[in-house]
Amino acid sequence: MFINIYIYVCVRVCVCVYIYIYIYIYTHVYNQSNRIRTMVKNEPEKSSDRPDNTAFTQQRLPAWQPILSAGIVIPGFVLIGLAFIGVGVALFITSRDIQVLELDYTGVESSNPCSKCTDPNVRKCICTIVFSLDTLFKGPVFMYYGLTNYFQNQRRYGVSRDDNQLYGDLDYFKSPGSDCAPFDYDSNDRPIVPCGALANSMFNGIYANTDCHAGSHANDSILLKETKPLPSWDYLDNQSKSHSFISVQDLSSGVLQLHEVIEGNYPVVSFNGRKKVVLSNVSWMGGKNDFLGIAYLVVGSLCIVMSIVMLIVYAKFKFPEDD
Amino acid sequence: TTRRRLLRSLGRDEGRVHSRTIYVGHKSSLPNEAFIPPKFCDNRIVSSKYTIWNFLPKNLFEQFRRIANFYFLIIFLVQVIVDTPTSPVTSGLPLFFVITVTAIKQGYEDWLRHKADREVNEYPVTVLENGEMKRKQSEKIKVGDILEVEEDETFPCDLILLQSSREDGTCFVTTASLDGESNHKTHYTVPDLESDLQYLNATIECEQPQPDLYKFVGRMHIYKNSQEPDIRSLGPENLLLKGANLKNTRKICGVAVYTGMETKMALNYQGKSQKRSAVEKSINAFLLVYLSILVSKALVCTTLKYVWQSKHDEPWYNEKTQKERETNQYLKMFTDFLSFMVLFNFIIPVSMYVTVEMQKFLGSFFIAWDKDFFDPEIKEGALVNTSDLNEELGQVEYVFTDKTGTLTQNNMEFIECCIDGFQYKHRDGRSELDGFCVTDGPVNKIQEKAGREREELFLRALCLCHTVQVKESSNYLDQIDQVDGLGGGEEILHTPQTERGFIASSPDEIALVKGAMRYGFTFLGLESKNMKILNRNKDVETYELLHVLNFDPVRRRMSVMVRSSTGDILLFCKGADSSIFPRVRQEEVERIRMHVERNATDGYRTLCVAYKLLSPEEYAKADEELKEARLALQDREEKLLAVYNQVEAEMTLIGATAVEDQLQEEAAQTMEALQGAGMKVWVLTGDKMETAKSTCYACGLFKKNTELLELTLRTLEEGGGRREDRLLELLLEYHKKAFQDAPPVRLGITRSWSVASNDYGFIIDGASLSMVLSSESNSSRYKNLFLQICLNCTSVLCCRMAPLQKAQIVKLVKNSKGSPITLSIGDGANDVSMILEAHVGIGIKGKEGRQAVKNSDYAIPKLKHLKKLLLAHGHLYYVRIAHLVQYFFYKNLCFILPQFLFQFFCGFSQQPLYDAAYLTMYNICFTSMPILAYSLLEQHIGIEDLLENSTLYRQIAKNAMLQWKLFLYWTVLGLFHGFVFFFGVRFLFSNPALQDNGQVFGNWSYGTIVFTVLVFTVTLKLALDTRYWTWINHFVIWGSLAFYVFFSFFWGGIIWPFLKHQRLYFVFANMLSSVSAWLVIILLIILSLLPEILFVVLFKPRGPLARQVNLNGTSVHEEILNLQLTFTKWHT
Repeated sequence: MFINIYIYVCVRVCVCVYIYIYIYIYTHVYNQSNRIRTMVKNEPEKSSDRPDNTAFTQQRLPAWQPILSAGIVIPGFVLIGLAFIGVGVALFITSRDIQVLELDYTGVESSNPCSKCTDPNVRKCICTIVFSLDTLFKGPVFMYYGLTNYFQNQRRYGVSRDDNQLYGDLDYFKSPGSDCAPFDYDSNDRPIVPCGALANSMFNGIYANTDCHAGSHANDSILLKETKPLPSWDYLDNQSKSHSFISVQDLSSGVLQLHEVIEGNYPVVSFNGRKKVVLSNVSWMGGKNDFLGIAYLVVGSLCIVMSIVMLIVYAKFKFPEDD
Repeated sequence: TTRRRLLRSLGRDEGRVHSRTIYVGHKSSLPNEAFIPPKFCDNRIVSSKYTIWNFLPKNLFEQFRRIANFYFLIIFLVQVIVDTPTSPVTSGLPLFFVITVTAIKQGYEDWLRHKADREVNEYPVTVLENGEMKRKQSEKIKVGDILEVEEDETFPCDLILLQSSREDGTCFVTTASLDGESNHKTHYTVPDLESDLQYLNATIECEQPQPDLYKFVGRMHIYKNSQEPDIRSLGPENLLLKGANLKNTRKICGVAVYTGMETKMALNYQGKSQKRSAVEKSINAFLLVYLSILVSKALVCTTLKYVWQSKHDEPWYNEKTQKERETNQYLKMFTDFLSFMVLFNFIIPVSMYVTVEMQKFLGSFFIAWDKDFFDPEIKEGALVNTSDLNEELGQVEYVFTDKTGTLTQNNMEFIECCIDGFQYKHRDGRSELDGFCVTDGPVNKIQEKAGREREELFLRALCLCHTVQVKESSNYLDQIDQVDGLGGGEEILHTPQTERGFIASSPDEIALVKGAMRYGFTFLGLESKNMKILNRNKDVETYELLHVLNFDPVRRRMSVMVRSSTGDILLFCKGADSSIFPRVRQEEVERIRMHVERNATDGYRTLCVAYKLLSPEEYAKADEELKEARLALQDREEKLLAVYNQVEAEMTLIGATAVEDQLQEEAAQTMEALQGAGMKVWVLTGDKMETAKSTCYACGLFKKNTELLELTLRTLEEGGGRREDRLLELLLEYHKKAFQDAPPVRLGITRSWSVASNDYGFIIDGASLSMVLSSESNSSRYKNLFLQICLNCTSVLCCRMAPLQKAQIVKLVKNSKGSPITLSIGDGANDVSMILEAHVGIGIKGKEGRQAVKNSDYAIPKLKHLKKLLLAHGHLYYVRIAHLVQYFFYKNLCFILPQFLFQFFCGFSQQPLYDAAYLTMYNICFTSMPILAYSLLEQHIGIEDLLENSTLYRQIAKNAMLQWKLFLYWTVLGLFHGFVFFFGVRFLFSNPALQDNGQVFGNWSYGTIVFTVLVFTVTLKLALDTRYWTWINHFVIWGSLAFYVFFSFFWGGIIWPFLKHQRLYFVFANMLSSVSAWLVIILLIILSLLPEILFVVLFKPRGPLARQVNLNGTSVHEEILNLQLTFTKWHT
């Protein structure tokens, strides 16, 4: 068994807590064993002294005793409700103003210019997608790639790499760690570097902007930044997309038409996936996300409604008694 | 324990041989007989549990019997064997640590026990061997050795007293370490032995070891010069027990009869049977629910995993390894199932066991610390013998109380007496000599007195008929220290001549002797079988004490036989009226019965005194029979009883005495509070009905308007028919009254009010009870009728109860429908059985020794303390622990539910949602301290309010806070929170670009956001429930949250060189740099807590009692009182 020192540190913390707990429990047990010894040796039992008269022992510590009454809760709800509605409106408007353009270049449909690239035998395939923007995209504009139905949060997938290789330990170049299997040795039994499913399923598309020719390779920057790319949500609904950050492109300079050269032979058809390019600008809240704004509006109005309901209930049942 | 069990089973086998034969001094009884020394166990005491060899397996076995450890072990084994998402170290190391620490601790304690054992076993003793004294180690003592023990030494084994340095052949011992009674007890030597024990040739035949401290039957055969052996009977008065101390006696010699683990002390050393509280039962039930949730979650996930895999065969980027392909499909399914179990195992709150144990242990200190329980008289506070039952104190439905010493003070004072039907009352103003003063008498004989002769006979009877001993300090100047050290039943009395202390087993006897002294007859003491009394004329009268017919609860009387200086043989007998009246000439009875009954209704304890002049022939016959019965090895008690009954017959009644037993302080208020709290108080006493009834009236258990239903021998005999028929008739009649006429039982407040106002009192005596319980036919029907009557009466009085009957009653109620929680309170050895039987046993540190205190779960100095113990401490403990349990289940449910939901989005691949550090620390560091502080300090209602308003106790009756309904509420809350946490964040991640620099978040950020919301919500939920914020609560709640934030920064802020995966590197800091993450955390916390706040405000305040909790206003108190008043008005 590989002793994992990392877990050891976690455990050290709980160990301290356990020591604490067990000392208490066993002082108790210890007292009992003392009693046994008293019996054997016939020592007189000590009579207990007068109990300490402190606030703690007498359970009379000064305390704040808050009471959730209607008088506090109703105004509180109104305040929270108003605040939430305010935030919700701000979020909603911000999210609405974020511009997003999604370009699917999977090529399942024959009309798609990239359909020629779906053939796995084509080693190098270049397809061009022409798109137009109705409105100006305010900068900075980010470009993301999206894959659907791609389960990168599989447990086995996430750990399928050898960090020692990535640190540059040459020994591990010759014999990759077992976690990498089945991407540890190729069909000729030569070690794979970098090994593992993670590295060997890297997105290998290349985008190029024909206008400014500032192409960028999708490289492994994301892989090293966080252990895994984000989860794919596509199991349940194929509507949503997963994005990944690649690079920053500024589209604010009035470019209306963009010719994108995509070197696309990343195979997604085999698992019914889709690949996309997404162009989006961001705001203070990040990318376009209607959920947050709507959720704030709903919760905020719920608070208001509840405070009204409470007011009615209290008017009916409570206030006569208070008089 | 195994050793003891082994011993017991051996003992049972030997039981076929009813007795053992001991050769005193290892000498053969007959010279020509080959002497085979019988084998007995040696005198080694083994209190230790382990030896070096069996320590490891035995200790491990015992540790893994604890459910928490066993669960850890299983999880650990699964993690070792199966490829699981979390490392085996996560559960293995804590387990290993806990086991090691416990083993070291227990090993150390056992080593201490070994050391203590060695000290005892190697203690030097003096053994008489071949005529010389030899020093030996205690463990080398063999059965049959003659030992010498000096003053203040402890007896090393059970001895038969052969010789004492005191002239009268007695010695004094204290048995404080055996039964806790610190008074001196007298033991007697075997009579007429040779003075030189070296030449003593005798065998002792006695019963096999048995644990009863007060029972011993044996016979000694003494061989002298080949004559027929002399036979002496041996009783407990000849047996000196191991563990007792020799006092007031320079030295004694005795022969060892039981040694080592066969001594009565060793046989008595056993743990009390463990009582389990109702809360613990609820926990186990809830645990089963959670276990089934856990298993079904794992099952669902495993099934769906294979369903999912059939739809998505392995994609190219995540191919299976060769090994995975080759594994058997079913084995794979099974290991997958186990992996899911490991992933979700945190749902079973193992830490809850530790927290509950800690809460109980620490919480019980508040009882011991409470200065309200401190009694300045005995300089002691409350004593907690077990902390397992704290919360049970808040659940009590039936209180069974003893009368003498519990409701009353057991502080006896001689009030008056009645001689020949004339009443004598002592008045302080008069001088000692003509202290007799007639205050009242039969109407036609006012101002008359009984004859002087009768008076003196009565007083002599009082002076002679007892087992009181006198301690005269002036006579024993060298022993003043010992006298001062006396406690227990002793009372020091000041007389003009000497300081005189009386020692007696019951305070009644002292009161009577003191009463006689006030009228001029002073008991001077017993000197070598001669009782001396100082009569009115200051002459010393001497009586030879021939026999003492000891008191026992069955006969309810005791007698002495004395020979006066003139040679007359007299028998004096005193006892309860019911046991004396049938045994005296009937013409005298009526005159005295009137007085006795009136005294009894006044609440006095009455005793009747009778005497009998024995002719020499009668005496000879009685003497013969008594000696024979005392020698009997089997059925000695029955035989003695038969002889006693025969001797104590046809006596002449002289008079009766009345002794007052004062009520305990605040007895009435306490009883009122208990009844107000919805408890039913039953008085179980050995006393007679009239006395007990008057005490009940005095305590307010019976009120003026209480209708008494009486089921006693008297009412049974009223009809004149067969008792059995009358019994059924009465039972049916009472049943109709109490049960059917009562308003229909409704749930909730109405019921409790109606019971309180519908007053019936039920009285039953021991004889009728045994008829109810043991009548051959219809016994279950009688029992049911009886129970139903009792359960519908406010108070029940059971009088003339034997100790075992008390336990029977408790058991009957305990096992009745709805299994109500019972509490027994008592102070004497006769209450021990009911204290042990009830759910909660309370001992009162009274005057009748400490037996009850030793066997109780809690001990308090006074009855009045019961009110605070139940109404304040019990109530708070129950609320605290119930909340603790529910909260623990809740917080683990909403902890693990998102992890379960996450499986639906990661192809059921057992991917954990939270980092391993979070998984491990959640229950231990982030959320454990606030709930512990809450469960120690919470006072949802102030202590004063609880004490003032006993009705508040009814709110939590019947385990109200751990009902399935509430459990369901908490579970639904946990589910709701779990869903909100998971899906709230999931919707946010529909676009994972959450930072203003366009950067996207990964799934560890996802998990961290969920976890942050979780920790904050769960802690704030507790904060919402906290009604009593001390600085500790503030510190722990805000401290826990701060610690979580700090830890997360720290954990993600460093590249840990030993970590295999830097999963959380800068994840937390990154998360906080996103406004959206902040907004979603705030949103989800508030959304989760909204319904909670709404519930508190909208639903709880309904109903007058519940509103009290929330409003805490005085107007509500008044409202309740008004309500109470209207109810009482309706019913009167």
